Amino acid sequence: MSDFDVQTPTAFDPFADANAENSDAGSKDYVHIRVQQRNGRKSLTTVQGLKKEFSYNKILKDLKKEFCCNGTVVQDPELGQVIQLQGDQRKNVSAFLVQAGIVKKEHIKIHGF
Amino acid sequence: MELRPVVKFTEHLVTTSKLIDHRHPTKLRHKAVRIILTDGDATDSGDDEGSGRIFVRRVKRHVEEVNFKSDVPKQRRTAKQSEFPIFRQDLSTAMGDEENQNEVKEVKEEAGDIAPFDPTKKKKKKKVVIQDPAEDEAVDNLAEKTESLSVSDGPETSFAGLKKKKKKPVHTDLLSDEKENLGDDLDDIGEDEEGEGIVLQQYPWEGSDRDYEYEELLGRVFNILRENNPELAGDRRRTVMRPPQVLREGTKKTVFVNFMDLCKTMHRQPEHVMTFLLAEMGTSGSLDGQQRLVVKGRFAPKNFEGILRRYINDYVICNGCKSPDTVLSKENRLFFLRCEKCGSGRSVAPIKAGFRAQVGRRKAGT
Repeated sequence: MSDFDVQTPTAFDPFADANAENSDAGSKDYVHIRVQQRNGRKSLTTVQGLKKEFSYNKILKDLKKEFCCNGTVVQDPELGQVIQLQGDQRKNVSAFLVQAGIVKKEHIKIHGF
Repeated sequence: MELRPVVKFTEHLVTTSKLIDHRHPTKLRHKAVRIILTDGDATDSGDDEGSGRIFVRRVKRHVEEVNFKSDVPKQRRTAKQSEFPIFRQDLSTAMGDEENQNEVKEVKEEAGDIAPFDPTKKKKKKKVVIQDPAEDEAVDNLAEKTESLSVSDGPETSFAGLKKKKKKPVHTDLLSDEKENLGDDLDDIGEDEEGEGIVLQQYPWEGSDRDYEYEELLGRVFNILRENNPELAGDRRRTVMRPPQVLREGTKKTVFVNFMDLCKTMHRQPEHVMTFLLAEMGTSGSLDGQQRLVVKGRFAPKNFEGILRRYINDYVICNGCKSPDTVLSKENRLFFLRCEKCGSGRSVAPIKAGFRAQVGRRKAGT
């Protein structure tokens, strides 16, 4: 009983995370930004998991213009459409996506070294 | 020359020629006379007085050269530099010029002395910056003082003896007073520090009747606890991971040498760590014969470190108590993390490689 008394006053809601994520977009809705090494000092940035409603081509166009790099949208059989950009643009992309209001910062996962 | 390059040495040569009558051969044994005066404490006119820049000891040698020329035009012009030392020797002994001799000797002495004093040079610089460099002597004295305080007394005495020759007595007296004061000050400081060291042991409220403060009491409790049974004091012993050692194999592969070591410190299956690393880096790799991880691509140790940090946060550290003492287990296709310290558990996300773009050459057939 005393245990119970001690525990109740805490304002911690154990379901807060789950509720928030469920209400927002589902817990699996991370946008993954990855980087891949190519030959030499070249690299490739991939953006995966953007919402289907967005027009990938328009986003890509702005990204390309913003970072002065080339890029493409590839169709992956499992993951759907993925944006590829030339060079290591991870920070740029995440800043852009947050700033444009496409994704929230909590839902971006930056991978790679 | 016998002087070390620490000293800026300049020589001022003034040459005068005097005609003598060769028909009346005088008792002159030398065709030239050089009067040499070496100033060990020369100052550059106004240069280092005000600006207080780098203190360079300057030694100036003033040479008065008198050439005795006879009427006969055939004259032996001496090559100065080559014959110089011999000449000087002659001169000082032959002429019996006490001053000159003294000076020359002193220069030699100083040259010997200056070299071991090199470490003081830096101190001098510092002192000059702090102190008002009004007088060179003052600076010198300060430097001496610091030297004697910090290093030893041996060189100081010898140096001081040499110094006193040159300095005006008034100056030395004044400055010695100052010296003593300074020494006292320094001594005081030393004592104070020692005193503080003792005070630390006691409690700050001792000797006064003020109330204890919470922080002080808390500190006291923890000190006692730490002394008597340190395991209860809550000092989290940090598990220290060694930094990853990384080698380059050829130009395109990277070898992670102490991969196994790190896996053991984390208590994780190397396969699990490996899949995470490879997924994060977006490359392929494998374990080689000596249980090292060979990864395709060029990576710096820093990169590995960052990824391992993320791995530890995601798959090792317990969320409840932040303890790294956890067990990762797989229960019907889901990974669970269970803490050995506090017993809490959580599920962790499976490792997914995600999208991997086509890099490099495609096969000719496709």
